[in-house]
Amino acid sequence: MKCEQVQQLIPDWLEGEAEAFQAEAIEKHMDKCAVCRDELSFWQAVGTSLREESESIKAPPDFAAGVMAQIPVQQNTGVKNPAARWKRSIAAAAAFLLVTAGSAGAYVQWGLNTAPRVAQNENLPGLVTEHDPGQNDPGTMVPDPGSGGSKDSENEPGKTDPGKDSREPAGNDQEPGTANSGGEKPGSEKDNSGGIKPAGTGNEKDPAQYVWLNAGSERVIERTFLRLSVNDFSAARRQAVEYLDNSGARYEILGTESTASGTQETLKIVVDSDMTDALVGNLKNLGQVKNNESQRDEITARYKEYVEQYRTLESQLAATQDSTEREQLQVKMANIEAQLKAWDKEARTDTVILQLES
Amino acid sequence: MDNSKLLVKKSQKGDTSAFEELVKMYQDRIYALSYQLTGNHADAEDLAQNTFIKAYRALPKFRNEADFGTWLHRIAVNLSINEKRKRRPDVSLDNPVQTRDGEMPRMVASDTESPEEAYENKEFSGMVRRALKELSVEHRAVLVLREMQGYSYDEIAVMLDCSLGTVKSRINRARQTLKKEITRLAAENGRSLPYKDRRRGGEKG
Repeated sequence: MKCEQVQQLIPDWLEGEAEAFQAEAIEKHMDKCAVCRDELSFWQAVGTSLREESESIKAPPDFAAGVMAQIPVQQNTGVKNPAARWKRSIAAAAAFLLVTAGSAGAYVQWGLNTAPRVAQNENLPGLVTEHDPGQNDPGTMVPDPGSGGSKDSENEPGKTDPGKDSREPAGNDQEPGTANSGGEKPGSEKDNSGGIKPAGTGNEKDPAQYVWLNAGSERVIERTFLRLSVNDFSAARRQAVEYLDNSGARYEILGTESTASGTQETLKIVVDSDMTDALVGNLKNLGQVKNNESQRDEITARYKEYVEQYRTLESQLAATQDSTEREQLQVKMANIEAQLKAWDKEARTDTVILQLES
Repeated sequence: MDNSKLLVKKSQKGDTSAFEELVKMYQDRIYALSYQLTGNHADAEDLAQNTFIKAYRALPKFRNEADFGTWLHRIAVNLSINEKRKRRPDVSLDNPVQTRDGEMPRMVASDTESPEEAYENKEFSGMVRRALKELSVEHRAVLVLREMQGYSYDEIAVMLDCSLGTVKSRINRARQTLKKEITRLAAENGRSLPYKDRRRGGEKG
């Protein structure tokens, strides 16, 4: 074997990757060729240098926290399809209603202060009416958390489970991380993201001001789907509105259809978690229950974990004077804060999709 | 290994704490690789973070029979090549103090190593690092995977999505460039082919 060939094979030979016949030839050659022995020394030294470097380099101590702090941000920009199945079914129902109803005049107005307006959601083209007994802010479906976390003690998800058919949280077959973002909004996604200041942004606030109360208390995001067959549609509808008003719920009509054979209407209701049980119980008395499903997303553990991350970042912030680093930490904290607030808000309320048909 | 598979499975179901465990498990390896690929700590941290974030997003596509660490390496290498990361010459590999533990010599001094030898070794390592930095991203990536991470040619071909022949010739060219560069740096330092003397106990330059 010639020097040139040998020298080309040396690195592989050193790593035990040369063929047996090559290895034998190289060894023989080494015995008599000083130039190639130098080459061998050279590659041995290079290999040692490179490998020793790999062993001595460690990730910085806060590395994992830094990665995890960025993951909720990625979540929010992902596809919002947690309750995809429901969303699809609601969208299909609405599309059907629109086709058969034909005109805006077919929409039944519920209540006196209902303001009709155009929905922005691409899944539900057409008119949507919204009823908001609490505030004159049709753009806000979900109550503003206000002082943030102060209503936590009211949240007792254990008793808000009206479903006989509780299922595992959605998300097993979906992109992870999207399971809790925006799933309760089949009809008014735009309103929720655009109309409320704290959700999803939070960067404008000093993150240190937000206090996390009851970080360990149970947080569950609950969604219920209820389909009822009623005898007298108008009477049932009136009664339903009364129940909704009494429970302080807010709702919007996702679609209404009137035909010779009967009427069907779909509502999206947002109600405080502690009222859900009573409300759903009452609604069930309005007619025959055709379908009743609920979905629970337990977010307690994740919530707690995020609060811990937040606190870690907070102490890092206190420990550093470097302005760039402080800025980065604050951005990370704001992102965590936004996610926590969104969860807080969702956990305090439940979403009920009600379908009445006669 | 089974533990990491379990954690991957949990992470795929949206368990972020399981994913955090995975990050902790692999962070040193990915960070070291990122450092080798980028040549400085600032870019290494970005690359390593982006690797994990990308991995998180791509988790649904990950088949759990594959090795998670290898998959992460693949993401890191491809990110570094695709992004053609900017070099920062001011924070460079040739800085002798690059570990976070402070002034540690690269070459661990063995019992038989004299202070002079230790210094030489350190100096040589510095040259290797500087030379590595002079390579193109592609050449550096294959060398890092082969020499530092110990991947086989086949594995590298899969990682970089190119043929075995391409990998072999690329590694060959990378090695030649590296050697040329080290020789040049040695000459600059007034050392003629330092490796000649290193293993012989001969004169020290």
